[in-house]
Amino acid sequence: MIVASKKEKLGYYLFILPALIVFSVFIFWPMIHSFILSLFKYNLMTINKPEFVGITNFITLIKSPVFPAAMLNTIVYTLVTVPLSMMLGLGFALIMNNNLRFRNFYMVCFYIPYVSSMVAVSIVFSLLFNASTSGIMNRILVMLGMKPVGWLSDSKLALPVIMLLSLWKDLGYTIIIYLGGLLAIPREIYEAASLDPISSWKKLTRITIPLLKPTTLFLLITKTIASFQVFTPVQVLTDGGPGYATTTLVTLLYQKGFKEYKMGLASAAAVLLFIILLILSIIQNGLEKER
Amino acid sequence: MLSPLLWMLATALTPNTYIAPVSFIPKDVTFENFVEAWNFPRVFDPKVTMGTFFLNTLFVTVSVTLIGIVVDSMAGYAIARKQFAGRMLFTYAALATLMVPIYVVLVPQYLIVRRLNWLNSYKALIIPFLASGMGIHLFRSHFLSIPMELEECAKLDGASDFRIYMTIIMPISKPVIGTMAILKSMWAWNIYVWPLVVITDLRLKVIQQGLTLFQGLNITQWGYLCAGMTIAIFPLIIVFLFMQRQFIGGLVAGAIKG
Amino acid sequence: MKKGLVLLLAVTMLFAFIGCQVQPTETTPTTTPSSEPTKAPESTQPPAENVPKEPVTIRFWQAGADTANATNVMNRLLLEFMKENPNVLVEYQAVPWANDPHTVFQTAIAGGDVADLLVVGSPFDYVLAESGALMSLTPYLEQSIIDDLIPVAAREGVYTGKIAELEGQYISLPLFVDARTILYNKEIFDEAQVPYPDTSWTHEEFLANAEKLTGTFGGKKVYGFGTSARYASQYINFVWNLGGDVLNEDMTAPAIDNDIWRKAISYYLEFYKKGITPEGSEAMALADIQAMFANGEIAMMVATSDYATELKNDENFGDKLGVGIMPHADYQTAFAGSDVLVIPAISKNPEVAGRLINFLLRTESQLEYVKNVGFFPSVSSALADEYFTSNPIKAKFAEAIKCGKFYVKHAISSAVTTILRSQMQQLIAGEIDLDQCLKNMTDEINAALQE
Repeated sequence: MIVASKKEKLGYYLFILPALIVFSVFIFWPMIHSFILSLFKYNLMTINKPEFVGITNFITLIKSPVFPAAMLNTIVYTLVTVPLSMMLGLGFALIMNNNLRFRNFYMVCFYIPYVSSMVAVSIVFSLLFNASTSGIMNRILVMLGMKPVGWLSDSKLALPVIMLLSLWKDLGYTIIIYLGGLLAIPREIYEAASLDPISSWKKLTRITIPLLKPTTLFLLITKTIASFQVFTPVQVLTDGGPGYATTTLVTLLYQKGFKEYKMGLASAAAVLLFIILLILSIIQNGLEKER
Repeated sequence: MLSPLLWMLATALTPNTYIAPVSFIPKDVTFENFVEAWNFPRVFDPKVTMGTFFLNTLFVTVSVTLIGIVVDSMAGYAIARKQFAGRMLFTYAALATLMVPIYVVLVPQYLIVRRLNWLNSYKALIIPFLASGMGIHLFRSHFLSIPMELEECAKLDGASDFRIYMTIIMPISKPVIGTMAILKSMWAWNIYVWPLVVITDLRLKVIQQGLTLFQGLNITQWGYLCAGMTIAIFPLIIVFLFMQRQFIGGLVAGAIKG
Repeated sequence: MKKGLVLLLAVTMLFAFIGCQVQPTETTPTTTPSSEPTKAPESTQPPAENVPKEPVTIRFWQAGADTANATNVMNRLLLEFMKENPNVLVEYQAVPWANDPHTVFQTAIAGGDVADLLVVGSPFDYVLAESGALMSLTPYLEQSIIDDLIPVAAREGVYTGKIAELEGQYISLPLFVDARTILYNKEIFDEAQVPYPDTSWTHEEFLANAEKLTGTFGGKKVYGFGTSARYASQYINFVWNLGGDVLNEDMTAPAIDNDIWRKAISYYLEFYKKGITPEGSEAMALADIQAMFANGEIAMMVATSDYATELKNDENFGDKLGVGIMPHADYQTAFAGSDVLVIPAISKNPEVAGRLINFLLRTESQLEYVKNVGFFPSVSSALADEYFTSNPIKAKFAEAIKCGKFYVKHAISSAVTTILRSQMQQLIAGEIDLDQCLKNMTDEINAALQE
């Protein structure tokens, strides 16, 4: 290991400087501003002279009847979609990493849903899984001689439909990231391994998956963060209903902040969300060090 | 996998109705929806078409993608391969930028952009997105897997860190750069909530705002909406096919032995 | 290498520059909010006398205006206004509903820089008023305009609430009004031999007829009355019919856990229990109900006039469409809504904005607007125009507007909507019973009022 000189060390900071400046101005400061405001009561007009209320916002939020449901839905959503999406993504990425015929075509198929805007895709899904007989899935069920299903009106099915949408839409992303990770594995390692007579399953579990660890960790962390913030499909498809069956932390936050104009409460919800995600990320990052 | 989107294409090609059609195969194929969708914004301003939104979005996307990749990869490089005080702090801080829903920081962000006098300008759409926590971490996770020996040799030859980054690290990182180019262009192309508050001038609106024009209060004009969505996705597929060369080159080389 | 360094340097300097500029040391905002209307004209002087000599530019933002030519008509009207007031320039901006104009306006108000005149969807005016973001319109209104307002506009634009300075003052006036009433499919009615609902039915008649209309007609499974409990507008009318409402009169507490609500909601539940409305319709989007109606699978539904007009023009459905009158019990009511004109408290030119309000509420401007855009005028002189009386569809909606009533006029109205939706959906799904439902609504609304 070469010891870096002082001048070099100073140079390191130049590498992060542009990102640091963008973040500081456009994210860190707004974040801190918003977090501070979670201790205040204010509205549109009083944002410059808010009234200090301590942790009242947090207490009100936690006591709110919707909060437990929102928390539970968010956790269930994350626990289901994150592992499932990563397993499917890895599987398809491994398949795609071979000389497959029509591979380009498959790639485009997975990719298109991901690049389509969430709003557009949610609108398409709302037509597909419409509870009425005009819903496209229901028409197909009826054509097959089955009874129509109240997809989005059944409190047991609504959240799974939203999970399905997310899985379908984000699969392309997971595949792309995993493929990038697979490409980064030096060929020499496989070449060395091919000298030993080991099965391809062992090659997968002993070489490929361990070498993909940084990628897997990256996906695990970023996907957990993203899943905890699921919002748009809920808003378009169900409005949080039926009942509170699909209300999530961020839909609750949006409702409080932008529909009910209780900005202090929204900020409090954001602080809670942030703390949860930070703890989860630190735990997940801890996995990196285990060997 | 594609069926919802095939339905979208079919609807785009079917004469416009107020009732969403069901068929996957359009009965009377028409391109009228595309023409109508293209010209629809003229209702608000005769000089504005979907093309205007298109060019705005293109400009924003190209700027964010090109500059963003440089910014993210530099930061990712430093936190993956260098030891310096505050490294972990920055690593977590970059991750933390992902942990706050846009709605929470919307008003504070707006206050800053307003103070900078950037409302209704491209600057407001580009500069806040030049760095992304996601990009930095993706580069970091990639750079972590490159063997240290690679740059230590160059180091002994007296190359500066910046030179190593430019001439050694970046050239062997084409796949991840390709991935990032695809992802970043897609994020920039699809940005939606932020332009709503900072861009009120129709001539500066982006494509996602343009699309929402087809959803009236009560009536959604399915044909136009679907045609508009098809138009909006098209450029991203081109970018993908273009960037995919990076993948395919690597894939073929790597896969034979895989 | 060099290029990279130059780029790095440029980016760094750019951001350093920004960084300096942004230091959030609290400089006084460029626009100091002044909530008191300055030098309001006491009597209703002709506007010409108040014309300031120097040119004035005002900004006017409208939420919505996303039907085909709404912006064009508004631009025409504004040109005319500017001709009358040669020193005034109006910068007009429409923000379509899908672009979330309320969020846009709210952010702009928080940022301390908003247009001088806004059109917002009611009851967002109450949200703004409660935050102290609006000023009273009363000093700027011409008496002739006030006298001409239709009852719902005159009644609902007057503020009652926490902010003392606004008490009894006009804070908002509708640019246009709309109401929801019954749309029906004549073909299904003919086949089922049920008389058209052209006169108001009682609750009992309405239920009985809706049941008769449920069955197989025209070879299709038909539901008598398609309704979605996802929207309060679909059932709150039954509560109003019995003299009830969501909040008590001084808007301080919910008025839900009582016999009126029990009766109204059990009545509404009948439509679900008897299968008169489609299964799962409690969670359907209104667009889904409309699609089924347009497809001949629903005999009656409650909808707005713009949807009725669109449907009338549909070549496949137009002739079958009938527009009826809402059922009644003790009272005759209809769910009305409007987009209202408000002047933000931080408006720089409230006087000119007020003049523009007077202009837009004149009979001619109102007729010009609604004849082209749809909906209904907010002044009686315009509503009496034969354009509304001669057209059978418009006439029925005009009647509904006369007994129109607005939804919860309170800053928590959106919270109320969410609470009612979730509790109604749980009730209909059988997860809770009626008493529990009403009790939950009461508790949650109380909590929202206290938050």
